[in-house]
Parts: sequence; structure tokens; C-alpha cells
Amino acid sequence: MKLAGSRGKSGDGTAEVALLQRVAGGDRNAFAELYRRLQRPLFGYLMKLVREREMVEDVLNETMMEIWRQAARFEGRSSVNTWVFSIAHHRAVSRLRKKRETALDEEQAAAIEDESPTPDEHAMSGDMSRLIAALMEQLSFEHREILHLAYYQEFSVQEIADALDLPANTVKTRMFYARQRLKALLEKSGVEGMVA
Amino acid sequence: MTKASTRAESDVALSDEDILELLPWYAGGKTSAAETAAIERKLQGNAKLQAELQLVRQEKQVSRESVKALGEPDPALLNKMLGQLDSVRQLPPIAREGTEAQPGFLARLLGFVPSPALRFAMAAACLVIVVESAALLKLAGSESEQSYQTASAPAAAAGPELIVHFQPDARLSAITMLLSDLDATVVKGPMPDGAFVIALQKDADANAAMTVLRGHADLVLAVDQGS
Repeated sequence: MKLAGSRGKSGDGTAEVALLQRVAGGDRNAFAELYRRLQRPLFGYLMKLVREREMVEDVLNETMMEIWRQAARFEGRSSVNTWVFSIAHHRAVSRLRKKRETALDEEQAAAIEDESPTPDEHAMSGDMSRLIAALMEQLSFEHREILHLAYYQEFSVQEIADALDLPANTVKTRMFYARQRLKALLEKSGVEGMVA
Repeated sequence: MTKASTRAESDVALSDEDILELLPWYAGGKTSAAETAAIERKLQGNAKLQAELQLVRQEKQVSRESVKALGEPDPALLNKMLGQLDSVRQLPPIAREGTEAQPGFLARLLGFVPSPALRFAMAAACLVIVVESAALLKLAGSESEQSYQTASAPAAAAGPELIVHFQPDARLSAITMLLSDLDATVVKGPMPDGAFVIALQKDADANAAMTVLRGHADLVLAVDQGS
């Protein structure tokens, strides 16, 4: 029985492949066009992982330079999207490690001073969407990443597996535990009846 | 596809656990036809599962809205990057047999083999044989997370990891010598971007090793600390 959970790709990616081929040939206009297509998804992804805007833009810059450098080596084994996100992932991890922030665990993340309302305040106000958003920010790096790739980028299981270099089953179980953790935080915030 | 095979596909049975794992992708239309059919069968009359799907949809919506609120990168970033392109050397494609004149052994070795896993296996095996002259003892981890260990260093070698991009024309013999000098072992690769992960010895100084690697610009294009 196959449980791929991986129907299709995020678009067929033909235009991106063509752009990448032009980038590999040193076409700066193609590079600019590719950046315009990638900037929002990459920026959103990196903001969820790295969080600090200045550092995010540095990592985005590094990712695009790596794409420029490696474009000729893209061999189409995965989609352009997953190849690009793989580079961004490694760059983000590397940057965070340099800042020794990868050890930031959920409790420490929650302790970061933030002027926005706390999850409890959201719970008391009954604003469920804001509460879920606040609690998502308390998740670990890996859990934030998997939720973002599945929910926002709408990557399939296999695309996430390709981008993060993980087995497909690990992608599914990581997502499962990310959601379990989120539900536990919801319950802790006093929200009842959300856990199926 | 025949009717029989279509029926077989749609008859796929999923456990409750399978369904829970797949719901986030079902909500995004990213499950296969067989998975979708199986999930929808389970959803019928199952209030608990329907509530779970509702929560998934809410999480998905929140995720999308939270990213919209982040805005966009500085518009000046593109011009900044365009100004950097001239200083970034573009790599040539990995050479294929009979196409490039005198490609490096590593490039040829890795270029010929279609499967990334097989490429890694070949490269790792060569490195192990040449550098350490030891038996290939253990293939650990899952299919996509292979690592090789030898009698001399391995598990204990689980020191700092570095991500290394080698020069495409670098000779395997030169790379093996460099890794030998560092007492390092290739543990993973090539990654989608062509990088290899090497592991240093337990007490090794990662920064010092990175300095050494960067000092061999003829062999190493880039090096970063691993994850």
C-alpha cells in the first residue's frame, strides 16, 4: 500500500526550470525574474524560521547567490521549488547555528519578550485564529518549518521530503507531532474540545 | 488505467493513524486519488475526524494569514544582489562522460551514476578504501539518510559536522588526503545542492577545520557548519 500523500508538484515548474537554465547561462534578467517569483515564498519561509528581518534578508541574499552559483548543477531530480527551499533550509540552519540559536527550545522561544498579546490573552478574548498563530510561534524550529511548508507553501509530502532531505514517513510523523504539540498548547491555554 | 486497477487503487485501506497523518495534505488537495477516497470514506459519519479536519483547515488558514502579515523583503535587495553577481563564480554543470575535457575524477565519478544514493555510496566507499584502508562495516540509518562507518573512527567520530562543496575538477586523491589530514569522514551526500556532509572527530575544532578547508580553494568551493 502506498501512502505517498504526494499528488503532483506545486505547479509543473516549467517556467522556473527555463528561468534556471537561463540563470545558469549567466542571464541576469532571468535571475531578477526568478527572484521576483521566489521572493515572497522564500521570505515567508525564512521569516518563520529565522524571525529576525535583517537576518532573514541576509539568508535570502545568500540563498539567491547560491542559486546563481549552482544553477547549472540543477538536474531536475526534484522540482525547482524543492531545490531552492533545500538551499534556503541549509542556509537558515547554518546561520542560526552560527548565532547559536538552534538550541532555542520552545520554552526559551516562549520567553522572548514580545509586545503582542500573549496566548492567554488571545484565549481570553476568544480570538481563536490569533491564539493559534501565537501558539505556532512557540513551536520548535522543525515543527514551525513543517507546518509552514505543508500549510502555506502547500508542498506535498514528497516535496517536503526532497527539500529537507528526509524520508517521506518522517515528514508525516513530524507533521503529526507538530500538530499534537500545537493542540497541547491550545489545551494548556484553556481551549477545550479542539483535540479530536 | 483499467477498471480493475482503478478499483484496487480506490480500495486502499488507511488506519486512523494514517488518516490523521495525511489530513493536512488532504486539506490542501495533496493526497493521491486513492488516499483521498479512503480518507473521505473514513470521514463519513466520524464526527471526531471531521472536527480534526476542521482544526487542520483553521491551522492552514492561520498559517496563510500570518505570512501575509509579514510583508515583503526590502525592495532594494534585488539591486544589491545584482551588484554581487559578478563576484560570484558560477559552477559548470557536473561533467558527463565524453562531454567535458578532462573532468576531475570526483566529478566524473559522481556524474556518471544516476542515483544520488548510489553516487554517495561509491564516493564514500572510495574515500573509505583510499583514506583509511579499512573495511566498510556498517550502513546505518534509513534509505535516504545513509552513513558509513569504518573500524578506525566512525561512531566515535560523531564530532562536529561540516557542509562542504568541493571544486568540480578536484581530484579524489587530493580530497582524500585533505580529509585524512583533518581525520574527517564523509557521512552524507551529495545533497540536492551538491554538497557533502563530513564529520570531524569528537573533540575536533570545527572552526579550525573550516579554516583549513577554506585554505584549499583548489579543492573546496565553500564550507559551512552542518546542522
